[in-house]
Amino acid sequence: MDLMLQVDLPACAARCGTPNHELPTTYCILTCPMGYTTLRALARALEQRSKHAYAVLALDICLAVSKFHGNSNERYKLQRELCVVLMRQGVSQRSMSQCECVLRDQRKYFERLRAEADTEQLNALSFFILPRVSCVVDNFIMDSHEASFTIELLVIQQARFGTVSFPNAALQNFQTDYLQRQNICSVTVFVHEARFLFLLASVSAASILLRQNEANSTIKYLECALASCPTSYRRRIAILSHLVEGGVRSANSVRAKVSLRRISRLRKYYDSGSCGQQWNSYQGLPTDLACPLWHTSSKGRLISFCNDRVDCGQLAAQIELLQRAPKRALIELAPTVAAAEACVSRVGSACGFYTLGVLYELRGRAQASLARDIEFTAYPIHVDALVSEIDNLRFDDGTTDGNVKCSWSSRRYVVYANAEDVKIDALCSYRLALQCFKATDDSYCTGCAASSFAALKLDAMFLQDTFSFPFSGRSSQSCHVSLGDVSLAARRALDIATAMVEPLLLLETYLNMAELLQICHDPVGAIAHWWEARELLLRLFVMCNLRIPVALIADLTTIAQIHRTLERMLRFLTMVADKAMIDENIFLFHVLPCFERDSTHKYPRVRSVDLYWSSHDMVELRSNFLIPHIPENDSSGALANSCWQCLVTIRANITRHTYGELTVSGLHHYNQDALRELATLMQQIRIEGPVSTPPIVPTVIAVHAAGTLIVYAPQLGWRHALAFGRCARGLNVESAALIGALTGTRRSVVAERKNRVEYRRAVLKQVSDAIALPRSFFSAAVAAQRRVSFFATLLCSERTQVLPWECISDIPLSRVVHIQAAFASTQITKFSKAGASVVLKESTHDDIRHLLDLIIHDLSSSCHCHSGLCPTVVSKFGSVALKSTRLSSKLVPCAWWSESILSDNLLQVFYFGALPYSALHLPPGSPIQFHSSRKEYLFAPDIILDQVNTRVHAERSTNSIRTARTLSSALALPIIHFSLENLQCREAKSVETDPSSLKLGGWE
Amino acid sequence: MVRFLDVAHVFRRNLRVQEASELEVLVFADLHLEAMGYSPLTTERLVPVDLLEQCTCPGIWRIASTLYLSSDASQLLRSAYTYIVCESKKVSSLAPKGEWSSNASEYIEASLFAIALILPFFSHARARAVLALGLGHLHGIEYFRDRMAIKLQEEKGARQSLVRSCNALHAMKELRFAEMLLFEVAYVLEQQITTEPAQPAS
Repeated sequence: MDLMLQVDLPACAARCGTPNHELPTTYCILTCPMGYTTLRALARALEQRSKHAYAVLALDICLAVSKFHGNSNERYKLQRELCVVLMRQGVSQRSMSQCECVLRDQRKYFERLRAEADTEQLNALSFFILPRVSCVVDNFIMDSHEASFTIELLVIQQARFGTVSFPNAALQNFQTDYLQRQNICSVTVFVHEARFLFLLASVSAASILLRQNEANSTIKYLECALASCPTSYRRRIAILSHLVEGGVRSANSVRAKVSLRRISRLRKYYDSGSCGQQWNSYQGLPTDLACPLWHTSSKGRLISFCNDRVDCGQLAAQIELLQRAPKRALIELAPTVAAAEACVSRVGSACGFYTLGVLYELRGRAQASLARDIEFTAYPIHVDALVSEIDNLRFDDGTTDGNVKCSWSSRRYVVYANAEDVKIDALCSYRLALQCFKATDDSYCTGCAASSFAALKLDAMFLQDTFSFPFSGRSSQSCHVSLGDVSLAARRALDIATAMVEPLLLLETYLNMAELLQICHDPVGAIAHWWEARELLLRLFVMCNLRIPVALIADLTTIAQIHRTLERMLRFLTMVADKAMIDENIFLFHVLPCFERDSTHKYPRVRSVDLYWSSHDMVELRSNFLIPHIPENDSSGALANSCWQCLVTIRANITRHTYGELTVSGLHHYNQDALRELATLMQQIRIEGPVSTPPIVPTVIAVHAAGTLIVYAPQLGWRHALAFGRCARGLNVESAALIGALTGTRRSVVAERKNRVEYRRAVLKQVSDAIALPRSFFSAAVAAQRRVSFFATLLCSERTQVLPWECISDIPLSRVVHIQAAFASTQITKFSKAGASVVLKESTHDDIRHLLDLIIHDLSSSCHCHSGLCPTVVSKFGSVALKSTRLSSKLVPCAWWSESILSDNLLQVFYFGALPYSALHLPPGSPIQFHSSRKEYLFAPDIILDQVNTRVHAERSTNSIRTARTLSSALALPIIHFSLENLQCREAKSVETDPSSLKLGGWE
Repeated sequence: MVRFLDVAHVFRRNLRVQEASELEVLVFADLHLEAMGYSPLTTERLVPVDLLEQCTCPGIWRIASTLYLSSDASQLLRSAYTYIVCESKKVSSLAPKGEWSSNASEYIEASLFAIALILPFFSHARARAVLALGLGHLHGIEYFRDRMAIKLQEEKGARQSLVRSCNALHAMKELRFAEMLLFEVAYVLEQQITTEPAQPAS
């Protein structure tokens, strides 16, 4: 009756349920069969004219009328029709609830059928004898088809709506229903059909979720589909290609690579002609079911090329980029780009342009990464790609009017004289991508490409402007990118981001504008844009305890975006702002290390879950056809999940806009709603969550952000910033080698021959000169503090942890480490009790090594230019020395830590001793974090750990900071003192402090 | 029905034009509806919906029509058609040959349209006529699409796209017309309300 009132039915229908006759009764012809017929026909006409919203209204009235007449059959049909129309209209809660309503009806109907079957006492043998029985079987099959169709609709809607957990539940329900039906009707065709439909539903959901960067669920669905349905090799390849993409998105390069290898293996096997006719096993089915996944919307991306090297090029390049091998990525990508260009030049279709745009953008990213990746590249470098013979080029949408046949074999040979050349090529690639996206009228991708273009150019220009030194890397090509182009791109990207309300793009474009205006000598405008970005970041992402909840769950792309944004914000703050503004935003220096720690600790955890699934439950999956359930672990996980949900919803809306389901204004509206929800959620967390005290301001903060090393003393207001690492200045080979040795991975670099104190002193002097910090910096900073202290506290970001601050400083140092209480898991006690060693998974080891590689290569990039900041260094840092050596060749794939070192030292920790420095970079669950009672630790480089421990025991000093200082001076190696008490104790207290005491300025 | 038409003829001769038109329109509308598989009495759909909607076989509507027209209804229609043709003095060009053709259907539609226009807007007869017309256009487009699909399968290349665009234009026109007519019917029917006064509380 509610529905009737809602759809404004004539009053007689509304009156039907009310017993009193005090109100006048109204009769209307619209409720008679003639009216019903009219409305039904009108609904169909409206639907055919794509006026879905009006059609829904008309169908609603029809539904109410049919309920009024008590015509249940008609009602069921109407409900199903309404379901489809609602889905066509757009995704909404209503359409999902309608699907669920239909499913409920379906289940009732199934129960009735089952009861009927029971009364007839059917058995499997008599199915094909009695005509009546076969009719029942037909009904069963029809019913199961309808049910699976509805479930597919529901799953797709839920996936498109951006809800991650609901499709999972729906698929599980589907399995339950399917098993029930299978128990009654075990006809082979039925079983195959149901399996196929299930596969279709899960793969559709996976492909939709993949577009929204929700990689973890995608991988689960796809693995389940792979395990449950041993279908055709084409389908298998399609699913595997999605799996590769999922692996790339979730930063799981091992999984991605394995999947890619499986694709080539499958191809090789089936192309050799040794395959059976397995993929024709569905020939008995109706045509639309026998049609392989290939031709459905959920086919593998770019797999429609025939050549193995060509169509997998994009996926392979993504994997290589993930493994930080941009040169190999460029080589892998070259044939694919050439093929796509050839295809588009023949027949330009929207899909072709889009694919080409994506490829260009990927190439731009690879080139930008190559330009940054200076340690591993000795210029001039050449990229030698063989573009081999290609046949049968075809894009996914089939708009190329059949297969375009072309074949050639050529060699693409590109030589880059220096990093600037690579950068210019990257800019060109971004520009091409921009043009392609413009041609397809894809606003979001245009915005992203424009923003990347502007960011890449501004990165160098901003550093150049603020450090006021000319860049020496003069390009051999003529640079066509002017400031006007950059300005145009940045403004266009900002416009698009504002129209679409995509928060991460918005943050990036605000920072672009800020840097651009700063370059154009408009500091007020620049600060205004920066402040906008800061407000947005605070409201949407940062909690009171300075953590970013999304870091725990987000995919690689999002993490990289947020990380980059934080770095650029910090760089701008240090370069442009005055002391008052920096003091007001001092918390940003704490947010970055917290975020780095959270995001790097996320992936091993996810991977362990994956391993669990792959090892234990796959067998069960194969047999039981079950979907794995993604567990909700703790409260912080749930919190992160709900925040991530909002971001996924925003991406889902953008995808819908890209596919033409939403107008720009609709997208704006929906995304605003999602952002509002996210902001409300964060606000609620801030009010209800555990109250935390403001962070203790350390004496000195050292952050490496966006190619800049920033050292800031808050009390003094001194800031020391220099272009360091990626872009301009860096360490020489020896210094980099020494730092590598400190972190424990590169012990071979510092061989016995060089492992002397004098040598290390010389190198440390070089490092100190490169950093160019005044000698009395730390002591002056300590003197400026209110409380008298003999040591300075230092807060480091992830990449500055490796620098030997203890040796540079003139007074004892204690580093503050942001270890969260949540990381102290129970595995540690397991370790100390049982005494068994923890064996790290190979993937984890891989990950850590890459992390260290990144740190080292960031810090040790060559210096092409030398400013007047540090004239003494200039003569010592010739670029020649760097070109000659290639560090990666010396890298020995040693174990991340040696178990013996660890187990020995864990015992020593109980009285006093040092831990290996490499243990600092361990993922959660490592033994070091188990001893929550200890508040301070000493860390020494792995190589000289024994030596240090001997000395520590010999001295028997109670003051560990002084011990560290003494040892650092004596050994010319940083013996690091970490104090954990700061954060952990504060979190444990959660004192009755007003949340407003956290002077973040931007909270509502 | 023939008698009804006779009566209408008498009305018209007595210059009671509106009554005559209403009667004629009702007869034609009923015939048209019945030809499409709807009950002339209640306007309910008599042909199973699944047969019409779910089957993708081309010309299903035509099959359904002939199914119904093979019964008494076809006789009625034939006589009605003869009547109309005689009335409009077009015997020579459209002589009835005892079979139902698309020409007849078109002629009935044209007559319905012509007569319905002169009726008052809120009259029941007009609503019924417009409903019959609207349903005719809607089903016609479905039939038309099926036929087009077959035709397109036979066509190749550039000609195919030409045919497709022409047909799409035509189909869109038909659909717009159907929507307009059906909306008018819905509006008219929604206005026709009778209110029974409330019973006093005992």
